[in-house]
Amino acid sequence: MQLTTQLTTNELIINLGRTFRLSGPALLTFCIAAALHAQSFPSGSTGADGDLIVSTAGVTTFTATPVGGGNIYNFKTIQIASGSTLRLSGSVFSTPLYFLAQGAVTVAGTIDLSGQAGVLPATSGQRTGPTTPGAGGYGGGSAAFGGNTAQAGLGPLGGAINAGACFSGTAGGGGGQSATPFLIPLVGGSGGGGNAANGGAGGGALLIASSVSITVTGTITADGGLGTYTSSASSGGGAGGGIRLVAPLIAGNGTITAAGGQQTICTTAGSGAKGVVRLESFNYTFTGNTGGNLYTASPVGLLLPAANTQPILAVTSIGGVSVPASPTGSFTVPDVLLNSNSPLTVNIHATNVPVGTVPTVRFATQNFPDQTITAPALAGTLASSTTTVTVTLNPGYSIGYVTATWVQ
Amino acid sequence: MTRLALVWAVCALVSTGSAIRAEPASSSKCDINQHTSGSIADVQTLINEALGLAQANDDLNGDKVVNVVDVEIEAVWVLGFCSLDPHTYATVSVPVSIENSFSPVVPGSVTILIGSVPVSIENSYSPVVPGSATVVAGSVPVSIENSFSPVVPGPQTIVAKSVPLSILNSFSPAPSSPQTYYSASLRFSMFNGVMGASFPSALLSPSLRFLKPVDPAFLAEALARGARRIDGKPVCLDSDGDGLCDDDELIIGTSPFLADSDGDGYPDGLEVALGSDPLDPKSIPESRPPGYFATPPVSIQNMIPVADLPPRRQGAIYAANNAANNQ
Repeated sequence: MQLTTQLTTNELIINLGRTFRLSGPALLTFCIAAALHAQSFPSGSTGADGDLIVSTAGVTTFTATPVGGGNIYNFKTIQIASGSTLRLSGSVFSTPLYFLAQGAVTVAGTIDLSGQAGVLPATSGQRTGPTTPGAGGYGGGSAAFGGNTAQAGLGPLGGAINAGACFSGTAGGGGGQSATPFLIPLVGGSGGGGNAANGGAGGGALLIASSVSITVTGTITADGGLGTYTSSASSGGGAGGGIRLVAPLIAGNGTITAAGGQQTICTTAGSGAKGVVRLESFNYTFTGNTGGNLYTASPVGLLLPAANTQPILAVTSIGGVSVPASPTGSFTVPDVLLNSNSPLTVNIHATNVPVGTVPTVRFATQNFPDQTITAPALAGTLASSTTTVTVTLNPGYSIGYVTATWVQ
Repeated sequence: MTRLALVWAVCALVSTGSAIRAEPASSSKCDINQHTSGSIADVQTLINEALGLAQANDDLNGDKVVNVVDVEIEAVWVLGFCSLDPHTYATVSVPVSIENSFSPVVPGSVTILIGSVPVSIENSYSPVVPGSATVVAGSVPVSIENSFSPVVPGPQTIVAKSVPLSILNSFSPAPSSPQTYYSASLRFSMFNGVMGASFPSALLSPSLRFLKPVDPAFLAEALARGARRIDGKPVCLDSDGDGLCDDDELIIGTSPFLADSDGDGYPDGLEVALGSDPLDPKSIPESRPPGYFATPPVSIQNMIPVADLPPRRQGAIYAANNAANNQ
């Protein structure tokens, strides 16, 4: 038996629970499917986060946080209308995202976790930082600029700055992908290496699990960002990310892709690794296109990370000025405005990063030497630890970011 | 003949890259060098035996058409060692060519069958330019480097690199005696010409194996040495698709034909990868994210004029600028 209700309204509020209203005109298809399949798969969603409905034409950047925090969302249904794009950006989410749904998931539009393509410094006229990945992916390495050397791509297996010959110069290496075919743990793609241009960013990582079905007639993309090539500048492409869909039925004729970002000229040196697309269902009728390494299988356990255990590292303040929780990295409206020629304290906060981990802080300033600072080890508890560094920032625009590695 | 000439020319080019490394063997049966020792023909014979062929020839699949989806052994990278002699090993490079044809080359995916193995060719360029494409043979991804531009119907060649095939040699001598393990990395070229209505079969699969009983001790030794990995990628036959090679499963005790041996809902390969016991339903794997984190970049504008900086620091900045500008 299947009950279908369709409503159209400017602002849709569902009294069954919380609703994410991301659009004006909304189309709700609420399906209760019972015993449609001989084999069932419980997504585990509580429905606490209501319905995720996106029907506004154009790009909508997803910024909502789930009930209880973390990166696991408990939706009732997910509906991405044709012509609508839900952007899951690494500038908002540094971790993979888990979308659980009680009901049907329909993607007629686009879910975009792709990595940003490589950028030439000259195009912005300003020193730019790592390119922006999809949620849970990693940025591409910064370009050489103003006498400063290029940077390797971020993330595990990030692309090197010089991965091979590229005409008269060298090319930044493509980002790598460390995910297993199971996509457990869920891992995004790493960034391509910088060279004379910024490397392409890695694709993000997303799991969608539905107790009913996932139908993709539009696009879900976690492609790595393209590497960039000109006669004097080349950089590596970002690796494809990870897309895992789990439902009793996976259907549709759209596109599900996690391809590596190509370096279109010096491919051997600079192309990003393929990401992983894993489609788990009992009834697989999907006839569309896929990119990256495709694995199809029957559903296995989701193996979600325990609630609020995802590692998080953040710069919380610089010189007493608070840093936004989701910094834009844009110079149009700088995240932090300073007026200081004195040493400034940079506060760093970590969650679920082992105490004792030593972060590295990097500041890149337009036309001034980069500053790389090894921070004191994180102190506190696993749930909450901190460290600080002191830096005298150069005049003008800077980009700052923190990286850390540890043994799991 | 034009195609043949081209393929053979390519074969000749890539077949020169042999590398041999060997140490003295303590046992003649254990001496891989008696098979390889720089002789590609001997290696070819071994592999043909694995394929069930009497001898190497130009028409391996017997379709009377040479170089049309034939596995031509030009150079196979062979890793060999003896289970009882840890000091004996050798490598040799041998290329293999496979002629493929589809026309015209268009963006998108093309799927062909090589034997019973569907091979998907992703062509993401239009027109095709020098770049890379991808072949997936079974579950084994293969990177293809396309060195011709533009690709047009007719004799063109794509060279695939590092196609991993594994050959387990357990047929002789008897278990517990010295044995030899081979792992082959094949190179093949793909011929871009006219696609036939039916595609001849090829003697290629993700894993080639001798159909003889396998000595677990030997396999344990092979696994310990990582001999079935080439460039870090596993080369194996995974009958149940659980992420573990059949040979691994024989050693671990899980079933090569049952993806979830203990019935706890998690595939054997996943359990092994994440550290739980694939034979204990109470042992559940735990997902741990990578030990790596990078914060999103923070943009900062420091409005302090350079002139307001202390003289010493101004000097340092100007010196750095001059150095940068002079590079």
